[in-house]
Amino acid sequence: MIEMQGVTKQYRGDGNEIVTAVDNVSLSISRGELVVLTGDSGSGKTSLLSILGALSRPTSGLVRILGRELTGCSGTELARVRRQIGFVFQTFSLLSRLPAWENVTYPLIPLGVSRARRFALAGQVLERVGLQRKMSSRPEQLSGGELQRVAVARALAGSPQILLADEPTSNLDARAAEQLIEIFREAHEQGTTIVLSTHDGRLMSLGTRVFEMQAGQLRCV
Amino acid sequence: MQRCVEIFRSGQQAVLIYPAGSAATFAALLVVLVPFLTGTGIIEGLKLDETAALEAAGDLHVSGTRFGQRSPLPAALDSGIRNIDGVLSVVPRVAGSIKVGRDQIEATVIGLPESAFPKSIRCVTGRLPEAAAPHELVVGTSLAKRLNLTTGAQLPPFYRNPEGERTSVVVGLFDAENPFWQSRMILTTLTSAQRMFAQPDRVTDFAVWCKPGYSESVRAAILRTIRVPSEDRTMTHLSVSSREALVGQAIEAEFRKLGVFSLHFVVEFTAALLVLLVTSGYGQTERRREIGILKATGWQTDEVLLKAFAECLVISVTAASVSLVIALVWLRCLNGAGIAGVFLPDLDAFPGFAVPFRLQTVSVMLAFVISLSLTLSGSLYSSWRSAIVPPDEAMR
Repeated sequence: MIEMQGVTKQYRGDGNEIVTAVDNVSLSISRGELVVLTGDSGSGKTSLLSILGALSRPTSGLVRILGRELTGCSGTELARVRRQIGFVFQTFSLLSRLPAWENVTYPLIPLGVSRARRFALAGQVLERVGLQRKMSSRPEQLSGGELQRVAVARALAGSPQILLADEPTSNLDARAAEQLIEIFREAHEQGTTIVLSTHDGRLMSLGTRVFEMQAGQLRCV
Repeated sequence: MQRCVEIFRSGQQAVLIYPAGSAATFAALLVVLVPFLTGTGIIEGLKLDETAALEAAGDLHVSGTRFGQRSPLPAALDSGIRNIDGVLSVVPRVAGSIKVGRDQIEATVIGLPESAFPKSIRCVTGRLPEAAAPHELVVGTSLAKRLNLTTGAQLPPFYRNPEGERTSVVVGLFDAENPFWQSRMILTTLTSAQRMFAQPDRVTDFAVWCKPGYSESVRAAILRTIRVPSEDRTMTHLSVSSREALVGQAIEAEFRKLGVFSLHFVVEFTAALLVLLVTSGYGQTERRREIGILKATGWQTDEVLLKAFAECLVISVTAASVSLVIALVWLRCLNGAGIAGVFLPDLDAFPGFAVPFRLQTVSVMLAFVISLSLTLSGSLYSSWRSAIVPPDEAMR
């Protein structure tokens, strides 16, 4: 389902120096796996998830997702790949002027899903994350935990084959985190392939495999 | 298809999501489109009026030239022209420019034989001048208003001829079908006009009416047979213009006005474009981030651009429609106050006559095109720039 071979990602830093965020990573993830990435801040977890989510291209190496080689893909093909991936961003990345329900189903607009259908679907997904009463609330009216749950709801709304999550429980209190962990468990049980980065021991315990990232390199724990 | 409809709807919705940006774009468009529609409306109205006025004029227009400039002709040529086969009637005319009043307002004195006063002119007060009584004149209502003249008023000595300084009496105020024409016209008898300009027995031109189908032969005959007598070995050439040629000249003059207006408009258009480019920069960080999120969640570049296009279309169509309404109100209710003076010289901010206008379909269509092209240039490029960078970069 996901295959990486010798993937390296380099950035130019503030002082124009080259920073290697992901260093020669090779990884193969099968359908239905729940892979956990852990590691210190700045170790390259977010960069690796960005590559897996087709949000950025690696500097070198091969990435194959859902049978498609991403290195030579056009922008349009990458966008098609992204439609099959649900991504929970560390900073939520919600559209600040839209209500929760619109945020959840905005990715479905290019698929031609009608407004009424999107509203109904948003109701179901938000109920799943315990936010049905907040459907019309805008991001500024929601707490950090609620924002995170809206972000998770958005990632799940398109019934993705792959779910990627970057520190999904970092902004949540214990109860909300439990709720979220339960959602990930359910998704995993339904066959969704999940890759997430976390420091949360409860989430780590869900993992079929756990990897630690250090200075851009991946090590199986 | 459904996909496009939903994306288009999201673009429409975006207009309300960013009210400040939409309002700034909307205002910039109004600033461009309202003067454009009003200006072109007045130009078209003037063109129509002048054409109509000339349609009512003679079939041929005979004038004299010296050094390529207009020159007066002896009034006695009248009989020679009248004798040409195919001529129905000949009206000698004096048309001259004078400045009157403390503000030296430019007016046109038209002198005609009493029998040839245009039927379209009707006195709202007083009567028309009589040949037997020299120095009588009638003034258009709007000019009278500007000069504060009423029937019976004595015009202070406003011309001097060999017989000395002359005053004139306003014997009536007239209204005409062509409001612009009457806004600056003083009508008097041929003799009074000749005295006013100290050109006894001279006219500026002749209007000639011909039998149907005779215009061309009469024109040729005038040029062939009529000679302007000279007392000092100088020569005055005759110029004979058909009505069609005069209409053409009038339209050409209006096109010149349109050209000047267009030049102003290009400057305004450029300024608005810059304003739109600057205002589109406001909130650009948020827009860029939003586009990054859309791309990260599966939107393609062309879908992002379709959404931006829909947003531009809604704003531009709304702005063009509102501009059209404002332009109509400006022309119909406010009588082109402020803008009419751009096309009609020596005009008050609030014209004292109904400013002619006609909003043509082409102008209205053009307004919509201008509106859309302005909004697109302000938005589409920046959207495209944001859409082609990797989503994780755009979201930062």
